[in-house]
Parts: sequence; structure tokens; C-alpha cells
Amino acid sequence: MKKMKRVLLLIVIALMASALVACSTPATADDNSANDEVAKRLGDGVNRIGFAMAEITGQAVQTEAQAFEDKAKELGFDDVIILSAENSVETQVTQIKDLITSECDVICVYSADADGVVPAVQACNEAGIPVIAVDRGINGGEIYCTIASNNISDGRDVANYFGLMTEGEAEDSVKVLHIIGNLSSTAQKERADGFRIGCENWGQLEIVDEVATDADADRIYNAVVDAFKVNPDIKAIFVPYDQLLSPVVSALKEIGMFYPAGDPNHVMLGAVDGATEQLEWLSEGINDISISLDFLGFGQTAASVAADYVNGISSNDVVLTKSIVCTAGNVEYLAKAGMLWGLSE
Amino acid sequence: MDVKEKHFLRRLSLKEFALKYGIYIGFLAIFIAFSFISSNFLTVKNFLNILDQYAYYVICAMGMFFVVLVGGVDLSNGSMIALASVLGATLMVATKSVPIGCLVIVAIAVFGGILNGLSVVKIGIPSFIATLAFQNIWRGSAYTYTTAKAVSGLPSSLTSFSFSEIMGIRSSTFIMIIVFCILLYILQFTGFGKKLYAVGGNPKAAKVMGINVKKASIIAYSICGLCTGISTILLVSNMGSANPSVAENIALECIAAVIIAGASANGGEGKLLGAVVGALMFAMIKNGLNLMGLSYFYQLIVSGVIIYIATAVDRLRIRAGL
Repeated sequence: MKKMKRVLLLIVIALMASALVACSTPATADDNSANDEVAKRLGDGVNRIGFAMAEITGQAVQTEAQAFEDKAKELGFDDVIILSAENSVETQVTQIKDLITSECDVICVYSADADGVVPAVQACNEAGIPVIAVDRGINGGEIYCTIASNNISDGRDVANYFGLMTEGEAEDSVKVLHIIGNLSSTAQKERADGFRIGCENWGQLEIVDEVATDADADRIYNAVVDAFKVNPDIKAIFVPYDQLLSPVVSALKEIGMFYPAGDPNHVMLGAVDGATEQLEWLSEGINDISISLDFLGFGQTAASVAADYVNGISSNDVVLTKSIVCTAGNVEYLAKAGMLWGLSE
Repeated sequence: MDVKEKHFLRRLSLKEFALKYGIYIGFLAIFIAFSFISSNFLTVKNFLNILDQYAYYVICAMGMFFVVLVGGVDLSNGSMIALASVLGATLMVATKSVPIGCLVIVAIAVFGGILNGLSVVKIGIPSFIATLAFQNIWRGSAYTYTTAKAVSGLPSSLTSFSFSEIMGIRSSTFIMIIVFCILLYILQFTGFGKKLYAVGGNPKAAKVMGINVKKASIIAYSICGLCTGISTILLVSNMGSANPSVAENIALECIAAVIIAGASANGGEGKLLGAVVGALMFAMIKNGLNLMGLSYFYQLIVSGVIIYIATAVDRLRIRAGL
């Protein structure tokens, strides 16, 4: 009984402490909630912007985050908070709510899951903070602006390239291995859907295996080795992100199936993102196609739209960024033209 | 405080005091540190935000405490959350009935807990292995059932629950407090609670004393399942959808929260309040680091260092016999 009393005492103390904190707290977010349209402009007081990112590991998203931070600071935001949920949707929901607590003027979200973050977006709406969806769409709540590429189209473009390169081959004769990355990523899902749609349009392409690898290098390596044991005549491999190509190439070398482009035994490799190493590989004939997304554009546009909002300038509901199909034939030209984030100076 | 305890406290040196109450001191120290570092930390809104956001996690940790108390671990609770949430959510979408969906979620989670208990007690599989196997089975089933897609379109009454408040405090926080009180009552004021400590402390001696060790252990795993079920409902309500990839790291975090709060990994030791404080400490660290805008990479380092220090203090406490 005495122990129980002590526990109860602790609870009471905790409640009293919280009440004390309540009384002593000078201002909460409720007090200056941004329900009034635009309370201040850039330069008036402290301007804070938050970016809740699904992940921040990988060259592409780091480029996006850096571009966002640089642009936001250049445009006059004093505090730039960038958080990474490492593809955990519940973590991202929590982080967005923490950004609300931080009294951000605008919150940008690169969502871990298009449906899962909706309640957090609704919480932002409730707090009067505009939400900008970056890179990936969000399936609910009030989104101020969506800045994205067309992931379905990106996946389909890779399939179309495989189809074009093997045009004239017999029905179902070109066996394709589809490596699936992170199952919780909507971009991965959309690229996979786009790739399947693209393959259906080319009679000769047959996806013989789809392997979930959780974007883990070891699993990808083993998946490729195992897939070739069952289907030694695989002619093309698609992975959703460029960075996942390295273990694929290692596995092909290990099993003696690596031949450079131009060799009749060459296994075509395609991916999306346009990372530096994979763009350089194009010229060396290691891989065949990389869809370069505009990661600099994602970050910079998000910061610009946010700054415009704070300054009272409206924006389009949707801003589409460009994706560029890169192959050995055009990568050098595109790099010289400064059109590839992965090969920018 | 009785005379014996007063006498004991007088004899405690500063070092001993720090070791004995390390988790609470650590909690307080982190709380104070974040209050100075981030201007948005020490606000009622943030305090309530932490309780609301991490209520599901604290409840999970309380469930884990029961399993750890009997000398086991449950690595499957995160995967069970994923499976129960997608199955329950599908049912809710189909029937538009939140109570039926919630009942199914709890039933599935309790079933999972019983399976864990039976595997450990009846078959004799080490809890680490048994629950690791179920972790894969449940997660794989969740992905297979949904083809890795989230289940959305849940009844609005469930999603609006996460926004509901009583006296300015979110409902999830009240549920957490209610669960805590019930479990505390079971542990402190029932014979069963004392049996659990006995079973975890020395199963052979407990058996000699006439305690049905197997039954007690299975019930402990079932309680963990029940807590997992309640957590699942809160999480689904909070996210407004059910996602097969959720709660991937929750099992290890719950175990860490329970252990750093003084529970023995060998069972038979620890307090439920400690588990709650341990879980809230984790929550507070995550929240504070988010408010600071610290990069994810630094967050990993900081949280790792804190876990290490907290656990080291606890081990030193045990070695010092406190």
C-alpha cells in the first residue's frame, strides 16, 4: 500500500509539474497559431521552415536536402529544420507534429507514405501551417503545392528503352528481372507499377522474377545470383534507384555474366535517379539507361514556393519537375549542358 | 517513507544515490537540457504532444515489461502491429464498424502473444528465436496481404479519435494512463503480480512454491499481446491508415526502454513505472532532437550514447548491489 502511495504521489507530482509548466510557459503555438493567413513576411521576426524527409541516405536525397537548405537560407529563412524518418511513416508523422510545435511558417514533406502522413498534414492544416509535398504526392489533407516528377512515367521509360533495344525479338523471349527496393516507398511502388505497365506494352519483354530486397545491398546481390540460377538467360534488370545498381553489377561479375554494352551477352541495366556513379557508368557501358530526376529542382522549388507563400505570393497547385532519359549516347552532352544534377560541377 | 528507508537513504552516498536513481536523474537531466537548448521544448503543447505521439509506444513498452519480467523478450510486437493493423483496418473499411475492427485487432494481437508464450513455454524455443520467427511471419503476412500497400479509407470516427481531447489532453494519453493504472494494479496488488516476479526471479523456486510457472509465463506474453493490440489501435487512429511497414524498430526500442529503466534481462526485477519512464525518455530524446533540427545521423549517435550511458549506469548499480 505504501508503494502504491508513493507511485500515486509521483503521478500527482508529475501532473503538478506539468500544470506548473503550463502556468509558467509564456507562449505556446496555440497563442500565435498561424490561422491568420500570412502573419509575417520574410524578414519580419524569425522565419522558420521545416522539411520532413522520408529518408536522407543516398546522394539524390542529400542533394535535394542541401539544395533546399541553401535556397531557403538565400531567400531569407532564419531557421531551416530538416528531419529524416528513414522511411518510417510513423516516425514521419511524429516529426511533422514536432515541426508544428517548432512553429514553422511552412512545412515541406517528402512523404514516407502517401496515405500514412495524411493525419499529420491534417494537423498542419488545423494549425494553419501550409504543407508543400515534395518529390512524392500525398493522398489527403489540404496540400498547398505539390512538387514532383512522374514516377510511373520514369519506370515506364526504362521499360520502353528495354523494349526499343530488343524490338523484333520473339514473344516473351527477353527475360527481365525486376528488383524491388524499399516496400514502404511510394516512389518505389510507382516506379515498379510504371515499369510493369511499360513491359506489358512490349510483347517480347517478360518479367520472370520480382524480388523484394528492402533496398539492402546484400539481398540484391543474392537475389541476382539466385535469379540467374533459375533463369540463366535474363537479358535485362531494372532497379528503382541508381544506388542499388552496384550490388547488381557485383553479382553479375561474380557469376560471370557481366559483359559491357555492345557485347551480345550484355545484360541491360536500367534505373532511376541519375546518380553520379551510374551516369559515369553509362559511358563505360556498364549500365544502359538512367532516368535523371531533378533533385536540385525539388529542393530549390520547395524553398521558393515556401518563401512566396510567406511573402503573400500564390503558387500553382502542382509544379512538375523534369526527368531526363540518359543513355550512353546523350549523357556527355547533357552533362556539358549542365542538365544533370549528378554530373554538375 | 518508512523508518527503514529513511535510514537507508541517509546512508546512501551521492554516488550510490546517482546509481540507484540513475534513470530518473537521467530523465530529469535530459528534460532540463532540452528545455535550455530548444525554446519550443518546455511548452505545454509539446509536453502533451510527446504524450500523445508516443502513447502507443509507452503502452508497448509496458507490455514488453511483463515479458521481460518473466525472463523473455518479444521481438514480434512491431510486426504484429503491422499485421493486426492491416487486417483490422481492412475489416473496418469493409464493415464501416470501428468496434468490430478494434476487437479483431486486439484478438489477433492477444493470439500472437499466446502463440509466443506457448512456443517458449510448451515447446521450449528460446523467446528470442521464437519471437524472431514470428516477427518474420507476421511482417511477411502483412506485406503479402496488402501487396505492400497501405490500407486507407478508414471510418472517420476512428481517425477523428486521434484528434479528440478531454480537458485539452488527447484521448490517447488517457488510454495510456488507464492501461498503466490497470497493469500497475495487477503487478502490485494481485497475487498474480507477485507470482510474475517470482517466476522471473527464480523459476525453479517458484515451481517448488506451487506456482504454475508455465501458465504465468503464457499470461505474461498474452498481456504483452494485449498491449500490442491497444497500441495498434492508437497507431492506426493516429496515422489514419494501416501500413504493413510500420513499427519496424519498436521491439528493440521497447526492450531497451525496459532494460535501461532497471528491469533485469534475466527477469524478476524492475518496476512498471521505470518502463514508462524509460519509454518516455526515449520519446523525449526523439522529440528534443527533432525540435533542435539535428540531422538524422547525429540523432543516431546521440540516442546511442544515451542508451549506452543509461545502461552502463544500471549495470554499475547492479554491481554495487543497489
